[in-house]
Amino acid sequence: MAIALVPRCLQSLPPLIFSLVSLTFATGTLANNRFDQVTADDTIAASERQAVMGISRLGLETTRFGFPVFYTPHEGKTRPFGYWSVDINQNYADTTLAENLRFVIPSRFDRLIFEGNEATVETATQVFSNLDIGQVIPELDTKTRSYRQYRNYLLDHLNSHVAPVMQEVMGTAAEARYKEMNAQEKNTFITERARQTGMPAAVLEGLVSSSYAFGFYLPELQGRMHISQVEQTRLDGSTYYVYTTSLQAPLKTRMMVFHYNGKEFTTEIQLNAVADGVFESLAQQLSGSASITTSWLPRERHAQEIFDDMFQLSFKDSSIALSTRLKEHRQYAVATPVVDPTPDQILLEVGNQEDIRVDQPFTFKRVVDSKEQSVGWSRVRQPGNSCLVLPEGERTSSQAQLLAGEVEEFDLALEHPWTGVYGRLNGTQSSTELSINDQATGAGAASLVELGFIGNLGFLLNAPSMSEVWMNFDFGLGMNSSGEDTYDYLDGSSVGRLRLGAEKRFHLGYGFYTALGADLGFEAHSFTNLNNEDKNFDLTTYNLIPRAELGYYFTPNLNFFAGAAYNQPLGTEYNEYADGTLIPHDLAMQGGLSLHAGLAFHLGFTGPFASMMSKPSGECDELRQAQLEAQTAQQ
Amino acid sequence: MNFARPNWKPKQHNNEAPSHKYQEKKKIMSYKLFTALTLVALLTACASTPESRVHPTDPPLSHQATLVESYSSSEVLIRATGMGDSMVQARNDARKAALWFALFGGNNALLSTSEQQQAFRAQEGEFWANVQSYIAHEGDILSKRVEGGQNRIERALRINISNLKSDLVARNIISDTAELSEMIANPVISVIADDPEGDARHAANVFSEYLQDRGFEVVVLDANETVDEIVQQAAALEGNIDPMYMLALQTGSDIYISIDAEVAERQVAGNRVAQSTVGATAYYTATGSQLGASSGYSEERAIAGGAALTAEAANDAADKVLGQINRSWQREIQRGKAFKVVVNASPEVGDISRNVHRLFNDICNRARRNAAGSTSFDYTLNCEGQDRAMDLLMLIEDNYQGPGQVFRVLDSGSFLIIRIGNSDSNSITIE
Repeated sequence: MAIALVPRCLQSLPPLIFSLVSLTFATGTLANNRFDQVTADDTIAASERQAVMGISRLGLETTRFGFPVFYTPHEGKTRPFGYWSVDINQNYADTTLAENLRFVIPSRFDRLIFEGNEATVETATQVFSNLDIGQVIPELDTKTRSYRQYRNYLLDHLNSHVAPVMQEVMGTAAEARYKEMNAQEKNTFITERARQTGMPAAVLEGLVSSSYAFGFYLPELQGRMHISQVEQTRLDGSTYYVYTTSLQAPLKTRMMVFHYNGKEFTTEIQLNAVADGVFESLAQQLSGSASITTSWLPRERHAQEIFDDMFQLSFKDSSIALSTRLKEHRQYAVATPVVDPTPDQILLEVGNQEDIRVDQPFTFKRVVDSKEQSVGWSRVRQPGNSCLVLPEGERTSSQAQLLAGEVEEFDLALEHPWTGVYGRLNGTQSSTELSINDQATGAGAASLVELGFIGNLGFLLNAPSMSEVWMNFDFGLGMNSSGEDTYDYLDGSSVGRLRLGAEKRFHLGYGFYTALGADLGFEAHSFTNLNNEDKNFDLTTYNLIPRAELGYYFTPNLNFFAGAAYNQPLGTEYNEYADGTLIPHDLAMQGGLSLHAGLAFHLGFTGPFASMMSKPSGECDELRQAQLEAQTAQQ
Repeated sequence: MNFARPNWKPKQHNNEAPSHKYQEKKKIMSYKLFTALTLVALLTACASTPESRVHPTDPPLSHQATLVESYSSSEVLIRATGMGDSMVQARNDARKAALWFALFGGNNALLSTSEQQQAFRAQEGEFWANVQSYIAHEGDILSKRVEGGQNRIERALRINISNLKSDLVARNIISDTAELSEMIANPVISVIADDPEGDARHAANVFSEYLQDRGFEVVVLDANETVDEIVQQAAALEGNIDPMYMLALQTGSDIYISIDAEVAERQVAGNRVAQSTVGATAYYTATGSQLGASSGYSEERAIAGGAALTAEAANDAADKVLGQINRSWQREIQRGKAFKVVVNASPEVGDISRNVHRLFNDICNRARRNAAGSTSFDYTLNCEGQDRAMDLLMLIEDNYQGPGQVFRVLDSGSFLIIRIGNSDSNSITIE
């Protein structure tokens, strides 16, 4: 798939408004039956739990991947080094899938599990286990196939062995699932006076006739290995070499959603963890990389170790990406009507049961003149404890803060597909200055273009204390200013900068925010001596960069930011001129103000932050398990 | 807006006094400025703090509502649409729309005549302002839309019909009905289950509970109860030997409702789902003519047993039939209450058919001779001011002119059997 020049999130920039989704709603006030008459319609209906079966086998195109290997000797040129292969074991692949399946199937879904001749249905409050399905469902084989073949194989397997028993299995848990539904019949004769649940047959038929199976497939990997020979110096001054071997081969996992319609499974959605745009590609490369350092020149057998490392993280990142893309489909995103629209404390009746994380954005939808419109958006500051196994009075709502637009009670809050990670591009003008023997030279003011990633730690770690704390990595390249007056022979050459920092954002409403933060920077400056090229020199500095920013969100996925920082060098390192002679002068970079401005856009991959992403909350499942065990013990 | 630009202020040099012309100009400018500022202030005030167009005493903007179900004998569940510039207004409008529906909408509107509606209009403000007092329960908001800048919400509300009716009576809005109640009591209704052992019996109980809570005197009967021989003979005179009809005659009800019920069930994915249907047919006892019929349905539900479903269906049927009974009963009582009167003449008094016919035409608004033999006559009478058959008997005794005397054989509600002869006897002979 070609990488688009303009990322998807930027394609909405020209109108700078939320895209409007036109949906046709029934306009009549008369509903079909009593159940419909006392339950909410599409304009404000909360989403319902879906029953999902995660297929535990990871389909493989091949079990052996080959990568071209390149070698760069110390101070030498890169050259091809061979073609190394690694193996992937089906069990290892399946285990990795199982470890990451929770990102795609968190506790917002009811889970269906088929093993041998038994089935298990896990709802939010109940577990129906050891259901005899009267036949043995054969295991999926381990043959390698093309994606199309694997999809057809899964579909055939589901329809041949699972579909015939689905209704019966789903029927067992239907009553429990109905009790967990948002759209329950309330306040009617049957529920209040007759004190019966009285699940309408139409709802029962809907519950037993709709479920999903999620399948996953790993196509052949494309990537390369690179071995670098690096010179190291011992304390006694002697040198030795180490070899850093890295593999870059991001997984482009595919996902298939099969829908069971009461009779058979059909393919409903096909997703592909392929980067959209340069930044996503870069992010995916970062999570799809691993390296080891050895004191010997590695052999092919060492590639397997690197691959296994890389596979874990990259699969996790692709699982997160697939989960995010799945939420772009309305039926898989959480929706709930706004209970309390107080802008700083909007109450939403969702929480850990629905895997709502800290700083999760929600957009507010309102039907205006028969068209659904986005009227505002917020971020959750404190996810609620919405475990359905808890008594209703003990559940708490999520608290969100309005960041832009407006919200009214009973607007529909819709989960915004989000990874918490943005790519960003900014220009920086720094007024740092090189001094030689404590004399200012006028050289060293850097003009940089920086490219980076910034991730929301509150969301990634799901930690309320880290709400709106953002961590950033930025890499910049640019030009130095030239010397002035007596130092006009110094020509500012290139400058490079690497920044690692964090900031805390404070939202002001209307899409604006301020941020206070600081970076630790590593800068490399190069200067050219116009009088004598042999006296060209480089220096590096380690900087502390406190900064303040003002930002504006055009959409939840796109924001502008501008700010001022003070670039304070903590230390300057330099050694020798280009000709190898030691620099006899005292060089130092002086601190100075810097200004920057840029754009940040949401990424569908967590990339460099993938390892930090905590797993979806299992609190509700644990609570359910504890309660069921207590009930069993009582009996 | 440049109203307050500082160019109105003249340049002054060396504290020089402004000229007269300048003073005039300044005065005019000041007026202009004042006028402009006033205009701006007014416009701003109008634009920024719009006064609500809806007052608490106003009727609802929306008249969109639908009956969900009769929740209990005193409460109905209504899904109503509310409109308003704000959600607060829309919520209140939904309450008013639900109240409006209870008053004017559906089959069981409380204000069914134009007189009642006119009487209500004169006092409606207080009802709209106190709408909250008639709301027994407010459910969740069920939909929300913005149409033409106006919020529209839908909500299920339970209206307390009893309270509402009491207030309407207290304000003489439904005084016609009250007077009628005093003059002629609500009809006595027999509810007869066609299958005493099955769901129909349960449905009949729910039906009777429903009617009793609405002020009706109700008797629940089983179809297999024994019918008195005299009643059988009297009924046979007209040729109607329906046991339910005879039971109703015997019980003395004005109206009888025959109830049948059925619970249909099937299996869905291992779950039993069932739906109950309750049929109700209402008849005038005096005439045996049908005054209404309806079927009530429960939802098809996954549920153990069928009692709750039958109750749900019976409630639905009762709600539909009651509307028919009310409308028909009000029409009927305007003609005078109907009685079935069977007259048996002893052989010794000879032919008294003319005397009886003349008598009935004199004392009642309407007398319809249904069937007659040489000594037995079956009439349906519509008489004003007579509530029970005993009252009618006394009227007949007082006004009868002819041979023999009037003797009571049986009186029961709207059913009267008399014998005219020279001596009292408990038996009659119907040819």
